[in-house]
Amino acid sequence: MKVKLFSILAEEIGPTTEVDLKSEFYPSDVKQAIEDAYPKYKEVLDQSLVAIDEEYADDKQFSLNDVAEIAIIPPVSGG
Amino acid sequence: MKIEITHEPIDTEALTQSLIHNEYGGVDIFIGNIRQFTDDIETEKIEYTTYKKMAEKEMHKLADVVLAKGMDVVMVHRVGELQLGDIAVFIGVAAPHRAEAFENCQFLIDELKHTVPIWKKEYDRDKIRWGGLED
Repeated sequence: MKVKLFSILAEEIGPTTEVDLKSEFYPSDVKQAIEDAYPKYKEVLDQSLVAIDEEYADDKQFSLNDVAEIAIIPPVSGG
Repeated sequence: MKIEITHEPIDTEALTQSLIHNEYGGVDIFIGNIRQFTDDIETEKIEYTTYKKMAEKEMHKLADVVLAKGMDVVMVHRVGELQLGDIAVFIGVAAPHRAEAFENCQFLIDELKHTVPIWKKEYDRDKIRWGGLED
């Protein structure tokens, strides 16, 4: 599954990264998979939220089949 | 009502004018611009990026809270590379009376800073800082 990245993660890793997810997964699994691939960003990922289909996701189970888009949302800083 | 994320300069005059209606007696506006100094740190420019589809959704959610109270709302955020003095954000609320206009305008900018996926990369004289993250 392709995961969208933003802010420092997009600039340093790229606008997307490929993550292997089980058919049933938790948003925290997405962050863990990226952390495993890029341990340097553990601190950023710890502060980040996961968005599923453009909505902040609670850490409940999702079915991969029902999900169109996943994104990692680092701490926001608009305004 | 207007919600927008744009690369273009924000036309504050036109947006203000769009909030003037006969049924409202007060308009409160918050304008955020690029500040030069934060204590001793000197900023040279800021680059804003966004997850546009989600950001506009989140802005609509916030605006809906205020619209439901019978007020009018404008929320515009600029993204891209902004220089000192450039306007990054315009929030306006038109309400029957000033107290509600003040209160709801503050609500919108405060919540925007917490929930809307927009990020700043701050080019300071000493180094680059990513907004929202610890140094």
